Amino acid sequence: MDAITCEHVDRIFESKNRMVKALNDVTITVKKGELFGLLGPNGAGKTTLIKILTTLLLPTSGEAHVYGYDVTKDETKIRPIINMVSGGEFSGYGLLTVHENLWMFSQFYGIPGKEANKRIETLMERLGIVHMGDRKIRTLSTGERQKVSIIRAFMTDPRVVFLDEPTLGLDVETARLIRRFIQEWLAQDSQRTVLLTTHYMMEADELCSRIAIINEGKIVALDTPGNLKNMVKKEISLNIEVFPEIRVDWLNTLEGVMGFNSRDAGGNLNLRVVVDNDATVGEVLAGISQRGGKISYLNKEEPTLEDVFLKLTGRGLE
Amino acid sequence: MAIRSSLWLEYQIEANWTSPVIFILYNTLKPVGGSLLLLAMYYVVTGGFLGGEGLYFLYIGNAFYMLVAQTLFSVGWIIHDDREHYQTMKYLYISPLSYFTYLMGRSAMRFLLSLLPLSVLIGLGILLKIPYRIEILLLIGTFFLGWIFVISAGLLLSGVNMLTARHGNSIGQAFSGIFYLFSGVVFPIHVLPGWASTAALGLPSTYWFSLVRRSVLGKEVDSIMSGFTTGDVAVRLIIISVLFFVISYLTFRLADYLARKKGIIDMSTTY
Ligand SMILES: Nc1ncnc2c1ncn2[C@@H]1O[C@H](COP(=O)(O)OP(=O)(O)OP(=O)(O)O)[C@@H](O)[C@H]1O
Ligand SMILES: [Mg+2]
Repeated sequence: MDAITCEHVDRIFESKNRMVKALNDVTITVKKGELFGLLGPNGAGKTTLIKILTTLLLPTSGEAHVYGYDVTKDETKIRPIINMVSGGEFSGYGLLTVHENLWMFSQFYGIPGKEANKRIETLMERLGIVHMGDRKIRTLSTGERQKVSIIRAFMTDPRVVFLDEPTLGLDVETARLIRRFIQEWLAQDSQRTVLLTTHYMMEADELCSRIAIINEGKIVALDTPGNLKNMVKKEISLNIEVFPEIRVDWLNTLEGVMGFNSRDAGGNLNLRVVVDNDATVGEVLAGISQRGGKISYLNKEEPTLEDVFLKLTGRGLE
Repeated sequence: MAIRSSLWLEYQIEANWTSPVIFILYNTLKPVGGSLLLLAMYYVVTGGFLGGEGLYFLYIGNAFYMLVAQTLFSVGWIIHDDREHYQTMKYLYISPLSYFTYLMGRSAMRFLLSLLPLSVLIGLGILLKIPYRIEILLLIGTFFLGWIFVISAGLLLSGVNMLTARHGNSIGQAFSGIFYLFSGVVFPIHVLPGWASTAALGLPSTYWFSLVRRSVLGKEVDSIMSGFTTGDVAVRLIIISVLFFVISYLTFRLADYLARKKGIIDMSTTY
């Protein structure tokens, strides 16, 4: 039996004058022991899929199972064996202390008091907040709160953990600590499974055994990070720094451009372009200078997941 | 275990934000002040203070009504607070504890906490020379049945709250208002227009307040309600409460299903 299966899952949101197809025929299988990544830009449907799998939301059609249990009917079977963490939020009863918050949730999971205290202690130590047990939640920083959230989820010893952008908005060091924690937790028991969403390429590349790239509700690719990167081996990834900042929408119409992404880099423009042949490289560079852009840096790079994404969707992630 | 934790959480949220002394003052002064205001109005309207059956009726009804109103007021905020303020709703919801059990626990604690100002009000009643004839067993049973009916109302309210964003507590207050006007709280139901007193006989609260007067004053002064024996009132209250509970439970379950279908369990409107 697989940890997670989705078969032809659709989710449509309807409001007064808008209809959004947040998930469009999503079919994935996550095996036990996997750290499976869901990579996609804002609005791609990542959170929607997590909500369906955590029994917070019903699919419009299709079927989804967690440990063989149907998410629409067997929620009471699923809930004891899952947990989740979302990034970028301020969750918790601010007037309770860290320990009280965690202890209360442990009781909702029926963990015996002594055992609960032991688990909380161990995890607080592991995440470097062991001295914060008596601090009120509302006095914590974003990173500290996120660590409490991680403990809340992992202390229940779930079989499957859903992590929805768990490192969103955290500093590099805290994010790294959390990533390492997730990896170690998985390594301790071959039956443990994690489904992680992110829009950080590196995070997905570093952590995940397999990645599904999702765009506008559709799974557009699903493979190991290595195989995904092989998809763009024939293509050329260019990293170009241009000054001053120029418009780049003309790249959309240039034949041979598979995708591009541009970022403002302090008055300069940082441009990542994926093209499918050498001739196009010349056309891109010519196009930049025609529009008054000067090139201060140009490099042909190893393909990354971002290039896969650019090729598949034609647009960037951030 | 789980239900104990929700009791504990309610206690923390309601009572533990400040020192016990301030909490007791806060928790007690509000209802006591409200009752005094009502007494002042009674004085103005009737031109006299002591000795009227009407005064006992009003005073006791009002004191016990506070139990209903305070519990419903608190329960009315639980879902919005968990969902939008504390952002814990989705985590509570996906835990093995049913959200329903959690709500039961929290409303039970709120009910218990409101017993304190109630005892103060009953004590003050001695100063007003209210002729108490407390039947303790009946009173305990009355509390228990009251808890069931208030929790049912709380569930119904929570079902509505599950599907709405930030109407805050206006629905809860509308709810309490119905019980206030149509259950013989401060005036007997026989003064209501005919259709309303008929409707009042379908509300569990009407029988509950009648039981309250019987267990505290030892008699019923409402001319419609005195037609029933205490046993009649109790049986009717039990039947209607059970019905009310079932209806509330089913409504809550339906709302819960619709919320999951619409995707608003963790809705956030605080952009
Ligand atoms: N409750 C809702 N009602 C209406 N539309 C919704 C609702 N929830 C999500 N959507 C829409 O569904 C689409 C997918 O949203 P979702 O939150 O799943 O994206 P995401 O991949 O998690 O994005 P992000 O990276 O920004 O978190 C979006 O267009 C969003 O506006
Ligand atoms: Mg999201």
